[in-house]
Amino acid sequence: MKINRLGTCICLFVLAVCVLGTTPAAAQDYPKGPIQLVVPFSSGGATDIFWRTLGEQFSKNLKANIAIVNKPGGGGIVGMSTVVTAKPDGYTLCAGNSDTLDITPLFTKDLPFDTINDLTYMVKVANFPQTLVVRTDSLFKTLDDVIAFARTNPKKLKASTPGFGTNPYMALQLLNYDAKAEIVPVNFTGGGENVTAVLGGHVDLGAVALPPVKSQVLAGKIRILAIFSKERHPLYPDIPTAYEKGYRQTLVDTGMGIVGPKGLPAEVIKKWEQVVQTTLKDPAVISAIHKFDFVPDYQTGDQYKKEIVDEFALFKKIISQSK
Amino acid sequence: MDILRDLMFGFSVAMLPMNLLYCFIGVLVGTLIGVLPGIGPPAALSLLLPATFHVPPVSAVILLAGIMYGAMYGGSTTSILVNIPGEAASVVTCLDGYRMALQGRAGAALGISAFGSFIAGTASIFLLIFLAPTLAQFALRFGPPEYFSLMILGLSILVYLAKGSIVNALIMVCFGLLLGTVGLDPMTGVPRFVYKITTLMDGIGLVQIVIGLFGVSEVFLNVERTFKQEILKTKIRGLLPNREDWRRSIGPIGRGTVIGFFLGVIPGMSVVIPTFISYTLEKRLSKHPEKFGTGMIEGVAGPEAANNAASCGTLVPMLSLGIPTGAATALLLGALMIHGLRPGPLLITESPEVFWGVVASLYVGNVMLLILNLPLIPLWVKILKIPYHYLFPLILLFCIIGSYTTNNNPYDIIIMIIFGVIGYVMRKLDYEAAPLVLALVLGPIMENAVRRSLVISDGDFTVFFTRPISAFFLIAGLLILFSPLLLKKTRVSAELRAGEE
Repeated sequence: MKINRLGTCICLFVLAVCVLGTTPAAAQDYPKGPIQLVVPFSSGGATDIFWRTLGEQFSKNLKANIAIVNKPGGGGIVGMSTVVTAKPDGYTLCAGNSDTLDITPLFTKDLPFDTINDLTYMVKVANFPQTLVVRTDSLFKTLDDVIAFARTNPKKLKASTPGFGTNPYMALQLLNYDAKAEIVPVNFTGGGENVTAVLGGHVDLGAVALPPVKSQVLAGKIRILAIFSKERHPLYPDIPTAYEKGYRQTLVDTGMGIVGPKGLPAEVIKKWEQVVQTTLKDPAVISAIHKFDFVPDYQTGDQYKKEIVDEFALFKKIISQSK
Repeated sequence: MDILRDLMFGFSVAMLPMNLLYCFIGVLVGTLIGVLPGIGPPAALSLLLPATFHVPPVSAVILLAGIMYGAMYGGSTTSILVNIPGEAASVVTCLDGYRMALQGRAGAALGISAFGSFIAGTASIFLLIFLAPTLAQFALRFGPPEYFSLMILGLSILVYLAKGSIVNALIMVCFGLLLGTVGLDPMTGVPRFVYKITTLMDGIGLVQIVIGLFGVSEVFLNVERTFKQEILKTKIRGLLPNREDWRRSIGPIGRGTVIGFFLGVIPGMSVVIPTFISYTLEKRLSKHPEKFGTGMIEGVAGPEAANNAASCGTLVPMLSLGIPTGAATALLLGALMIHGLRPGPLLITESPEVFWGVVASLYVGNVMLLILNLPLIPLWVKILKIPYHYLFPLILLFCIIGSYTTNNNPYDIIIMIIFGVIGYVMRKLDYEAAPLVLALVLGPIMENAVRRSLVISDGDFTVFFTRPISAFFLIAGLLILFSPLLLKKTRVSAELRAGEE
């Protein structure tokens, strides 16, 4: 192939343009391309659908494509561990919630990474309320009924949970600690089995996240006794919180947020905080989140981390004391 | 009749051109997904979910439901052609379907599979319409003790699954049970057999094991034999099932439908289990049980009907109670929620056009699938004629893609390869993979069920006998286990008498 001088000049010119055209990886230009958001749960769950819905919204405001990748396993640990080892350039992030961040480390030793120190907490997006429910034909009408019965009949009441080490499980243990009750958890696998167990009358109570029970509540089959948040849920103002009933430690709100590998540049974090704050102000987004019964809750990365760290310390204290 | 009027209403919704289009897209995508090993409905559903945001709710659900049972149709294609289960529920189809393909009867197998699925699907839809509310209430009565007893029943039929040595089959069952324990203990969170390998925290994936044991090991075996070039040279006899095939398959299809549908209704029941039960039932009822595993069409017709009926059955709790029975229905529920619909007991009254529209589209989808799949049969059969040294790398490629895309985890490929080797060794030593797979599926369900039952009953073992449904399954299981003894006596004495004469 004869390379003439014109050809060489053109090649050199193009090369020069490429070299000179690049700027050092300026985080001000973030995001420059598609971002991979790992959802460490399997496709189809409430968490997954939530992030897919929000992902679209964030894409619009970030002006970059967000690709959701499901990497389920180990209560979120498997997926998150792949993000821990990724390059801290802001293009590989993970959707986090407290199951993975502060509950799993409590119960499972030898995790492949430290959920508090090996991650950058970027921004918190929403709360995922947990509840205590009974079948509508149950004798228990209020939370006080349940606690009263539980105190005089230790280990008699059985409450279903979606699994060992999940938020509802934690909520139940916290309630046991706070109220000096001994309700026995029966661990199922996932919200579906959990709700089925309550509906079928195989357990006395259920500790469930709010979304799976909503339709049952509306149909009149299940009654929510309490919500384990600090304030009453905006969509269900009639349901008392355990907090207001005096059980101050029983706060399990499952903070959903975004985390990334350690050492993310500050600009990336700032950008995400900005985008999330703007997105969560959009009434269409708020109503979409409400459809899941989640409660939008914007917190900066630092605030999010503090929340998780505090929660972890509290849970740790209670678990060690209840042994 | 009210129901007929509602059904007509549903059809009027389902037959709208836009909905027909969505239905078609759904079943097309579903079939492709089903054909690709490993990628199952949940992955496809979650990928297409965002596309449904801006689409009216009925159309969205029609699309997604189409994907779900389209996948059931497609799953058997690779099972029959190349011994790779399209998804776990198609494992049983490999046993006889692949043998039929080797005998040149792939067309018949594919055909009966398509027709069987169609008949089962259509019948299940009618069962769904008329029985949904009652069944759903019944399904709720299944608590942990009932699951345990049902699993015992499932294990007791394992004995019949074995083609060869029963001892070998039992060894495989133990191996399967062992493999099922790997992962975090669901009740206490203690890691079992995890050895600090993160991927194993959730257990060894069923998809990877099945693709490895069946698909990859078959490739290894064939590559070994390929130098003799015998395998795929058998003349292809007939592209569709003949009269004889139909005669033999009608019974299995009917029985498979019933088994599949009613078992599928139980929440949390894997679609795999009804297929195994159908297979062993057909084997038991057949006049030539020893021929099962060599290419008996009953072994394809029954399980294929069962798996389609079961996926229809899983819709019952979802549509009438709003309870997800598995990953696919959970996604469907999520999709309904996003569109502001409220799945649950109120769905049928609040949004009748959704409920009846979906039900009608199930039927439309089934018809579409039959029309789609039949002409493809000659095409699929031609694939078998590709020289094996071009074919097997493609097969391996699909196996790898299938294993990886389940969890986007590269370590799953390693697991698949390991089980491919294990499967190869097993075949050489005459151990069967089917009992292992059944035990792998049953074991965890059984273990969780018995532990939850004992927590609920405070350690009282009689709970399995005092609850009527549970007692029923236990007794049925015991009867099945001991029936050969009872029957043998009569057969032996008959032979003796015949010998004396």
